[in-house]
Amino acid sequence: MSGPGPALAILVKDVRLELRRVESLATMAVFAGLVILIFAFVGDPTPAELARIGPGALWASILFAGVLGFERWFAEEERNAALHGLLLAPVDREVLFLGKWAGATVFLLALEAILVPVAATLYRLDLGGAWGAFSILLVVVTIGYAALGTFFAAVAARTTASQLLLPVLLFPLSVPLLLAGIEGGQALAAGAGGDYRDWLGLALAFDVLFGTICTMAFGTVIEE
Amino acid sequence: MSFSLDQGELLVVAGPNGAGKTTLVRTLARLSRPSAGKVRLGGAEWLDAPAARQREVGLLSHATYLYDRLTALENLEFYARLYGLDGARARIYSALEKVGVRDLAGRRTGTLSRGQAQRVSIARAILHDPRLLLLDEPQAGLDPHAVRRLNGALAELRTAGRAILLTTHDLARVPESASRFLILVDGRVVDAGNRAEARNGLELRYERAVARSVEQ
Repeated sequence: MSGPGPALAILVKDVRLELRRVESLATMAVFAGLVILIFAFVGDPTPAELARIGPGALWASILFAGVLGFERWFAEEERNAALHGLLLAPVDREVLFLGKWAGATVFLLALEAILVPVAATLYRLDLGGAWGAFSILLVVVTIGYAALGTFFAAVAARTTASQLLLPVLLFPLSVPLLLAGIEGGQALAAGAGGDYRDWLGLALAFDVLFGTICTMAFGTVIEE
Repeated sequence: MSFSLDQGELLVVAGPNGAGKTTLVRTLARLSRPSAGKVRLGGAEWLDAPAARQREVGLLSHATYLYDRLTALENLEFYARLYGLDGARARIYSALEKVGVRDLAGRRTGTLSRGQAQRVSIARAILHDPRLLLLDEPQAGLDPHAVRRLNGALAELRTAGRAILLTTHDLARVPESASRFLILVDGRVVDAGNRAEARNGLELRYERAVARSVEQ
């Protein structure tokens, strides 16, 4: 298999492109911020209820905003058929996927760096000394979600109904990750370290399983 | 269809719209997989060869394969990294110079005209010095000066021993350095000839071949 150089080149290229189109990340952040805000005002929740629904609101916002991002990030490869330029390179398809996956992970983490402080403030999330553990959960869940999103964005881009197809494919398979993110976050807020580890383990297993499947299957879905 | 292309040859594949020229080029570049048939490159099986051998082929297509928000230089640097090229900067400027757009290196390709972007794309295709260069209607969108420049670059590449396959339906712009030609109709080779024939009377021969094929 090709070394990590080409994957790194794709990551650097994607970050560079994104920095020149800040409206993409800004749109996602505004959209996700509104989702978080709406959840905070539903049913006039008490402070205790806010803390309980906070992780769910955060992950729902990331899930929805992610769909916007995956589609746009892959659309860059469709413009001028740049994806064919990648396919022409002496690089294994798996490495191409790793580069795109890494880029999506970085973008989602950048989005979360904006959203987490907003959610923590609005929902009065007090994790005490568990912010480190929460960050680990955030990264692990994000890696898995980025793998699925990148893969299905490639699948959907090959169809004429990509905007419809992407969420239909992506959301059902993301449920285990969403649960791990919500329940793991709530376990941390409740001080239940054992439950947190179980949910983190589930998210890690998901990453390994679906990361491998998506990486191996990427070449097949982009072949013509 | 069956044909061979030796190093140092420039083969012109001509044919009307829908003849199969682009399909042929995409198949040779391994962007499309044929339902049947074999391709050999450098004497070895090509269609199932490892990805690393992809560096032996360069392709210019109808699309530029460039990222609009990157400059010409950044686009070519990206491809140089994908191909693991040493001395990338020197290669990039040399390739841009060959097609006469070195002064556009700092411009975002999304701001370039169709012809300018096409020339940057030609630089992308030759950047890694492939042994087989596939050009799918490369003159499309180019002004006469740019076509002359391209033809000069192709003659140089031929002299350097590179094999070149060029498709066109514009027979008036077939490069002087063409060594052979094929005429395709409906995915079949209906006529073929050598260098002298490619230079003289090719348009008449093309019309006859297409008319014969249609009658059959």
